[in-house]
Order: sequence, then structure tokens, then C-alpha cells
Amino acid sequence: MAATLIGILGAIDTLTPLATQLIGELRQTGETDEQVIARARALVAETRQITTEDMGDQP
Amino acid sequence: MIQRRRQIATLLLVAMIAYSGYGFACSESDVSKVKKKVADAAAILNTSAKSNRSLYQSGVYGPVGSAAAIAKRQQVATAIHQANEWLSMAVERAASLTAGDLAGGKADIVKLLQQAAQVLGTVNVGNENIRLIIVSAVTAINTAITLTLAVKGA
Repeated sequence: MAATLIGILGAIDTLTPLATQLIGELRQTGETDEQVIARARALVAETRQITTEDMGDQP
Repeated sequence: MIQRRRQIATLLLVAMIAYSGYGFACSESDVSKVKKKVADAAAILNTSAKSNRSLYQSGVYGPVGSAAAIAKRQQVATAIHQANEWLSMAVERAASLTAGDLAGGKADIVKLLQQAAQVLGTVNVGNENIRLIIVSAVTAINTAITLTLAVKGA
């Protein structure tokens, strides 16, 4: 009985990161194509802003 | 009990194969899958840019404000910036992608993602933390390339 419990708990521990990732994926599957592209454009714009600032000489 | 375990193991195996091979949403269109992969690549590159800033601000590159630390931050930011411009073109190509030009569009997007990965591969500032982050970004972009190529249709 204890061994079974340990096995189940071990499986849960192993699968938790995967479950978290899958939940994130499932939430995003509700996006339309337009929303996916809008999100990608926003990410690209934010990355461009960050890197433009960080390429400068300011501390 | 053993049969129950086998059922769970089989269920997990099927779910993992479906997730890794085709994306979790099996019903979404091929065009949608490609767009999502490009968005995933944009997300990981965004994380890399933020990590570069965080590493600089936390003194990992050297004392904040020192010429050496700023130079490292600039070098990484420049590579991410260039990769981001390739990715920006991939996003715009994905935006105009339709089922009618899926084959050609996939090829265009894969080329742009490959350029982004190639630029990132040139970064070397002698810091293990940012090296791992960049390697993760390259891996994510290469995964997006592989999954885009694996999308069927057209």
C-alpha cells in the first residue's frame, strides 16, 4: 500500500511541470488566428524595445 | 491495479505523442498551427531579451554600469535584436498565410526562423547563464521549425 502511494506521488511529482505546461497550452488554444498574430506582434514589439534600449551605452 | 496502471500509462503515452507531434489542439487547422509556432518562437525570444536585462541588472555580467558589463549586455541584445527582426518578418508572413499558400508560406517562414536561430548561435560573451538562455531560445526556434515542417496540408 505504501509503495503504491509512493509510486502515485512520484508520478504526480514528475508530471506536475508537464501538467502546468499543458494547462497553459489549453488556455491558448482558445485564441483565434488574429489573436495569435496580435500576441506575436506585441511580443516582437516589446522585444525590439528592450533590445534597442539595451544596445545603447546607458548603464 | 496493474491493469489500471497500464490504462493510465497508455493514456499518458497517447497524450504525449499527440502533444509532441501535432500540438495539443488536434482539431485546429494547419494554418493556425503554423501561426501558433511562430508566436511561440516570439515568446521565447522575448523571454531571452528580458533575461539579458535581468542578468545585467543583477550584476552577473560584472558590476552594473561598468564598461565590461555594458559591453556584454550590448552584445547579447544586438544578437537578440537581429534575430527578432527575422522573427518579425516570420510573424508578418504567418499573418498573411492562408490554406491556399501553405506549402510556400511554410517554406518562407522556416527560412526566416532559420535566420533567427543562426544569428543567436553567434552569441558568446563567456557567461554560462546567458549561454543557457540563448541555447534554450535556439532550441525553441528549431522546435518551431521542425513542427512547422511537420504540419501537413497543401
